[in-house]
Parts: sequence; C-alpha cells; structure tokens
Amino acid sequence: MSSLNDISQEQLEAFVDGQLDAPDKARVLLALEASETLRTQVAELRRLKDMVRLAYDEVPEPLPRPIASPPIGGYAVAAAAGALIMLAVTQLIAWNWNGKSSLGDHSVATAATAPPQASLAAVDPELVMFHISTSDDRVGTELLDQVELVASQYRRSGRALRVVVVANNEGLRLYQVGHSQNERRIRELFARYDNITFAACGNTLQRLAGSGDSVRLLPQAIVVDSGVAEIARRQQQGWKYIRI
Amino acid sequence: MIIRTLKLTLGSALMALLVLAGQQAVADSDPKHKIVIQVSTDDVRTQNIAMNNAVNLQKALGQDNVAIEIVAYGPGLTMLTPKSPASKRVPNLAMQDITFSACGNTKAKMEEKSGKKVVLVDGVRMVQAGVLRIMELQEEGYAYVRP
Repeated sequence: MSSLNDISQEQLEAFVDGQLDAPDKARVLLALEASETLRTQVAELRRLKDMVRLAYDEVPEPLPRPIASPPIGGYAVAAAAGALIMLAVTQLIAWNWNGKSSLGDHSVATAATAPPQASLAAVDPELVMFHISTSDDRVGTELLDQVELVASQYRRSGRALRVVVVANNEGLRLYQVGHSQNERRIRELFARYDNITFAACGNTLQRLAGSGDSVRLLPQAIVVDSGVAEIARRQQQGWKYIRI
Repeated sequence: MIIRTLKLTLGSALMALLVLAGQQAVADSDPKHKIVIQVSTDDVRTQNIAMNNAVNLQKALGQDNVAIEIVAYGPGLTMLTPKSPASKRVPNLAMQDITFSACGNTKAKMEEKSGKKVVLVDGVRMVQAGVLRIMELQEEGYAYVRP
C-alpha cells in the first residue's frame, strides 16, 4: 500500500498526460513496477482519456429517417416545413405540458420532427449523470429504470443525449461480476444505447483491493480516478446531476 | 385520420400559445433562488426531512424570494399518497407556495402492478416523469437537493 500512497492522484494524471519532470516520472515508474493496482489505474486513466477524446470528436450518429418522400417542390416544401415547425412546437409543449398527454398520441409528430430536432440537438446534447453509492439491488434497479426511461424518451423524440452512471463506495457492487442482480440489465442497456457510460470509482476499487476484496468489474464499466471528483468535474461542465 | 391529426395539431398549437404565454408571465417574476428537492425513497423520515428542508429554506430566504419544487418519483411517490403518514403535511405546504410534482411514470407503474388507481393527496400536480422534470429544472437553474 505504501507505494500507492506515495503517488498522488494528481501525479498519476500528470504522468498519464506526460507532464511530469524526469525525477517524478522515475518515481512513478518505480511505483508502477511495484504495484499492479497502480498499473491498472494508469491503464484505465489512459483509456478514459481516450474515450473522452473520442466522445468529443465523435459526430453523433444520424437518426433513422422517416420513409423518404418523393421530391416535391416550391410551395409543397414550404408548407411541409411549416407543418414540421408547428409539429415541433406542439411536441415541445406536449412535453412541457405535464402528465396529460401520452406519448403514443404524438408518435406522428415525433417521427416527422425527429430529423430537424436531431440536427439541432447534435450540436448540444443533453448531459445527465446518475450517481449510486449503495449496494442495495433495489436501488440499483431503480437507477437502471431511470436511466432507461431517460434514454428511451430522448431516443424516441430524436434528441441527443449522453448519460454517465457514476458508482462509488458500495454502489460499485452494481458493476461487480457475479454480485449484482442487475448484471444482465447493464449488458443489455450498454448494447442497446451507445450513449450510456458506466463509470466506477477508482479510489473505491483501490480501497477494496487494499483490504483483500479485489472486485472484478463488468467489461461495460470504465474506471475513473475518483467518483466524487468525476461528479464535481462534470457538474462544472454543465451536466445535470441525479443521485439515486 | 389526417383531419383528426390536423385537429389535434391545431388544438395543441393553441394550447401551446396559451402555455407559452403563461410561462412568460412566470418567467417575468422569476424568484432569486430556485431549489428542486428530490424524494425517491419510501422512508418516511427522509420524506419529512425533505419537507422540513423546504420550509426552512422558505424561512431563511423569504417565501417570495425562493421557488421550491419537491419532485417525488419511484418509491418516493408514496409521500404524495395517503399511504405515507408524511403525506398529511403536503396539502398545507402546497398552499404555502411549495410545488409538489408527482412522477406520472411511477404512478402508472404502481397502478399497473396493483390494478388499482393511485390517489394523490390534494395540492399535487403530475409531471410526465420525475427524473425528466428534475433535469428540466436544473436546466432552468434550480439547485438540486437530495435529502
């Protein structure tokens, strides 16, 4: 453990970013040699940085378009555009207009408005982060229910969205292989939505490993340095935050 | 079918204008502080703490200076039904400018499961989904509190 304690999280990040000077770098390298946990952490840090870079470079995938209509000209296009805008407004209001409207009633409007809304949304996706810190399977299920609800609503209405689930402390069990009742559900969600990231707190992982409880995580989960730091960073970047 | 859709659309568009006008009026008198309190547990103590938080915030900041919305979803929806003893306080607090929003999604699920209509106490309004409402409020600059 002492070698871990010698290297701070900041130093580790600076190391990954190639910003350490020679003596510090040597010290980190030495510590890396001695600790597998540290090596894993560095690997995950690199992976995370790559993923973040990818996520920002990535152009959102185009949404399935409604059945293509034959080319029509002039007034017809203008009229169609007008109708689309009206439908879009209606749809937005139906959204705000709580409770009363069921989505089914507006499926026509949704299909028609998806492309224009998507092109707007592609520039500025909704960002939402969920946080779990308890191992209670009931809470885990609740979390996945909410994540799925949000993801499916945004997909249905053609709006761009990114979701991050952050698990720390006992919440980490949600991702533990052979532990969580929700394992299959996580695999399914991950397969169905490419805009959901499952992030595990590296500090928690390290702490558990230090006390002889080495947790194997589902391959769908990535490890971040610290769950709390991740939440703070993202909140500063304008992510919505919901703790389950 | 097309005519029905058109009628629906026109109806909704009219509604849209009305709602927009209403929202404009609200936006003009935007209070200084905005707070959303999440209740997602059936633990009565936590439900009561959420309401205490709301009342204390109102006292501390002045009722006219703060907008408070309590959003209940998942097991937390019980706070807004007679099932939870905490629900007794809800109608009074609703009259004191505290907004209570019930998750329509949770309500529908509960009704499906029990086969019975879920009755909410007075002073509660419905939202499509609690989580989406919380996201929307954060977008509007509401601070998020989860007791």
